[in-house]
Amino acid sequence: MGWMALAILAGLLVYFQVSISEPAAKKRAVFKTFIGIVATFLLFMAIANYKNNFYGENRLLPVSLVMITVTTFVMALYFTNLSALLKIGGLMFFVAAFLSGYGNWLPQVEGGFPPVEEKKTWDSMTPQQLADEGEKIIFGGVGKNKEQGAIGKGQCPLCHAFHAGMLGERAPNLAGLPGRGKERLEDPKYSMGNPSKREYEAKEAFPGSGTAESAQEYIAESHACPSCYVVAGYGVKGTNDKQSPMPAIHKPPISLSLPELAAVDTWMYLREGIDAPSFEEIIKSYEKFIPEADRPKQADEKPAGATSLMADGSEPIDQIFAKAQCVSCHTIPGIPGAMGTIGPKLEEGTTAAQRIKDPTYKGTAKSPTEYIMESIVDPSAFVVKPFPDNTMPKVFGQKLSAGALKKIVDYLSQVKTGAPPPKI
Amino acid sequence: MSALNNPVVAVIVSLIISVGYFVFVDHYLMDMQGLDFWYLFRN
Amino acid sequence: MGLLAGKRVFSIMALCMMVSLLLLPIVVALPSLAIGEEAPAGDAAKKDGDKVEKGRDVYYKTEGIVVGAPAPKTVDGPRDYPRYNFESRVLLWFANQQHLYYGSFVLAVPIFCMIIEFMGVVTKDKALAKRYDQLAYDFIKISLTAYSLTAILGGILIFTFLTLYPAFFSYLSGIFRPVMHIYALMFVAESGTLYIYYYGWDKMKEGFLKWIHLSMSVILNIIGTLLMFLANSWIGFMMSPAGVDEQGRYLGNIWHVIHTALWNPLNLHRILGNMAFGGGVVAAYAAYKFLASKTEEDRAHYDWMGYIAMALGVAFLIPLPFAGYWLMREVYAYRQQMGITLMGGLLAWLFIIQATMIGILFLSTNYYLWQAMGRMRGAEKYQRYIKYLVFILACGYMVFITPHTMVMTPAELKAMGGQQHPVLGNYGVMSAKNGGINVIITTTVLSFVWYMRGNKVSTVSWAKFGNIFMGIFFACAYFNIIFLAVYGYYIPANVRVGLSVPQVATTLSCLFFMFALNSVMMKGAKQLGPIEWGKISARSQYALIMLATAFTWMMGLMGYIRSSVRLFWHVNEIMRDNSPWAYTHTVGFAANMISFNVLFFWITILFVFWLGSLGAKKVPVESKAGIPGGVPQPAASH
Repeated sequence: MGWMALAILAGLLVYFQVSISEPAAKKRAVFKTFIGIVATFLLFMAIANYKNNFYGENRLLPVSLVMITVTTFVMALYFTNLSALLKIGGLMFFVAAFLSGYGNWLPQVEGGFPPVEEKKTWDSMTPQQLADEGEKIIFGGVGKNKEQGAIGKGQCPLCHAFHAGMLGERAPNLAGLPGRGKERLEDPKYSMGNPSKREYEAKEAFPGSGTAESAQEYIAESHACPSCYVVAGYGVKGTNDKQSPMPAIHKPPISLSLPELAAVDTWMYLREGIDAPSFEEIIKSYEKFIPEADRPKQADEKPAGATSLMADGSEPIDQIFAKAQCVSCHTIPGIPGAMGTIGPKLEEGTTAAQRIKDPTYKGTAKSPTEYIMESIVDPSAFVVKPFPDNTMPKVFGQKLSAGALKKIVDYLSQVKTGAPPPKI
Repeated sequence: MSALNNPVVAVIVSLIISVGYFVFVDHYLMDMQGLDFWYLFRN
Repeated sequence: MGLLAGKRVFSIMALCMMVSLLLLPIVVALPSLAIGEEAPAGDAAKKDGDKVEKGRDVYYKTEGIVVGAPAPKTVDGPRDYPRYNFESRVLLWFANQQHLYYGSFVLAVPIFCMIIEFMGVVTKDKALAKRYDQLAYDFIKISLTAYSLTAILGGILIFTFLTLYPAFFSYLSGIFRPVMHIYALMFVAESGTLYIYYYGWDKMKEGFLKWIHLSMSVILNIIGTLLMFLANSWIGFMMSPAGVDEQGRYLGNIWHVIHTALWNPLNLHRILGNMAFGGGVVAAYAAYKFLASKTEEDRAHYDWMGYIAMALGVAFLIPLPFAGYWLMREVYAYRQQMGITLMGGLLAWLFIIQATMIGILFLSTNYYLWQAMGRMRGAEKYQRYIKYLVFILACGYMVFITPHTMVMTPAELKAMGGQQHPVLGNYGVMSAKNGGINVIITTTVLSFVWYMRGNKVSTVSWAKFGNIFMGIFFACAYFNIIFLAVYGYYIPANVRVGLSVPQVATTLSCLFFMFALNSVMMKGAKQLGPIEWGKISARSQYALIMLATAFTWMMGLMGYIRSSVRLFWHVNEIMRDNSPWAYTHTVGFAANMISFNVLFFWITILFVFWLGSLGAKKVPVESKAGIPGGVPQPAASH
């Protein structure tokens, strides 16, 4: 294409040489054609440069822009009858290209593909497929179970460890769970078959549900009614192990459906090389402890699975606290259900400033809001006495969106000791 | 009118009007939203 | 005499015809509306007969019987998404954007025409009246060629829809069937009115007939605006559907489908945006003619034309942010998620670009006004203060474009030591930004006031006091805006938003009081020298072109933002986009695409201008008759 344009111009050059007899006019015409050829050259070079460097992060694109702008102005200089048009075109091109360049210079975020709209047919899956789904629910992806900080929709790794020797002070390590279920049932405190004798806060998952009688039923009961049996040492502090800090998994904020729970359980079996009970059996074990009305429906699941974030910041503040599971460890005034005692009570409007002044404080925060942010993103920067270090997960920097973090900081910085909690 | 054209008087009068006006506007519009100048010190 | 009476009768008949053309679609629409409303009642009667399926409106929460089919579940493939070897979405984007550019241009220009023609009719100065009239005529002439291009582009757009997105388009047209027909009829009415209006200009230029002609322009604009409202209802439906149940089945009430959550804010925002855009395009046209003209006379005319177009455009630009604020508030009220995607999520960087653009618009406006002072004798006294205005504007602009919270990777977060930059982050909060933009607008007002009094000296007895008062009022306004911005840092975020109201009130007070006071003071003022139209620097004309390009670019940008906020939905939460192009493009790609659209639009519109100039060359005498070059303008002219 470019050669054609040049050829036409060169042809004109020759034509002018031959056809125009008056020397002055000839000179002018020749000169203009020459300028035209130069401009065309520049233009095509600019286009070629643009085309070659379009993909990838190339800093040479502005060169094209400069060349085209220069071209138009050079042309405007010599083609006086079109001068205004060319100059205007040059300016417009420059403005548009500048804005384009600005857009390309900014960080590029591409909205990923939407989550695939698929109906999972749970009951027809092979045990391995089911287990993979389970791993996704627990850790956010297949094969992620050994990754520190991997976490999925079920949010289990927030408190539980899954491999021998891995960290998990707040909840029992779940390695070897399928085999251990039987032992638990034999524990006199479990009081199998006689729930009324239990000393725990909840006697039964729901009135008339009874206790578990097999290892699978034990697992199901622990999910549906964590406070029906609390492993010694893992109860809410101050309740003498009568009450469990774990939320009922089928209820908000986690709300796993029965098939999802079945998938989770299947993974727990399969990873230890044990044959899992069939899908139907597992579902049945859950149906024993979760009444019909409480079972979450899986159909109207929001297509939010594209992100591995716990909260993206669009939720109201109380939901962010619930989704990030802050509520299970911290007491937060003004947030319903936030009565946790594993971590300190969050009255950062008053305490944050004091903590920064604490002589043992070694963090980098200068202001209360910075301190709060630091405590969330880097919990070990300062550990409030007498709480132990390394209890709070260090994943919130990745698992909460900037917006969600900001909302949390905004809220917490307004909570003051002795003052009524801020409005949600 | 001639008194108003005395620069000193003019400055004083305009200051009173302008400051008064903006204080009034600010106060009224902030009040509508439960805000005021002393919010900072009260809380 | 008989001839005149005949003309009169004829023109009244023409006017009546237009009114009936206007009413026709509504009359045609009535039965279908009535059906919509009676439907539930009719249902009650036959309830116990055959089983009627009922649905619940997703937005209005009313019950209605299901009339339409559910939204199709599309699959990627040649049936639902036939394609060329190219991204269909980009083709559609292009077709849509070009149609919208031309559409807004031909909607905006008749409104200008109406205003200018009206000014011509009421102005007592005969020469000036004639100039206004000629200007209005020039405007409508430009829009006439653009009008047919709009229709062509509309056709291309529909074919693009039909061929590339058949499933989606058939669903949409199934729901909007009556509306689309009304739309087509309105378009006929619009064309008819436009042609009568244009070709009747010379025949109806005296006395009573002129008033008839003027009322025609009112009708023309009513039709045009209604057309746009109808088109808005489609995009309103796509963003915030109503009148259908969760599966997208139409429930029989067409008004619910039209009157969705975002319809009215969109309508207002688009009218204002179109006007600002139209002003920009006409100003660019005038600038082009100015730069290309060879005679003093032409230069004077086009300088004046550019000034009027710019002033009208900016007049509509100033309320635009407030309309945008309303739209945004409604978006948040409709779906908070959508608002966050816009302002703090995926599309937030685009809003950073928008902030930059707003700054550019105001800077160019100010620059033009300062340059425009060059054509007045006596305005020199202000020239040396302009550098301070530049400084204030630059400060306001810097603060205004500083971003606040952005989506960042953990590594970026760590590198920056938190969510915000330790120093600059402080300017990124809303409190400072509101301060920034209000300072910019107030400065623009100040520039305007200086421009208006450029070549005049007030002769009222309290002139000295007036000047001092204006100075102090502006100073206090600046102080108040900055004070409120600073105060915002010391109070919690949830109450801080309340401070923007007094800030905006301060800016508007400056706008209204200072303009009013200035015009009172300048009544019968002594002129130091005439406004020498045409004596403006060429640079100022480039400022106008910059303004126009920036307007066009910004329109493309905002349209893209509005459209892409639906993410992977054709119709939000009702009909999924299952094509391979359901993802959102990067900022850079979008910017390239917008630039391409802008340049394409300008190339074609320059062609339209050129066509217009061909027509003008045939009757050079007539078109120049009403341009009395350097006649001094009375105070009321600007």
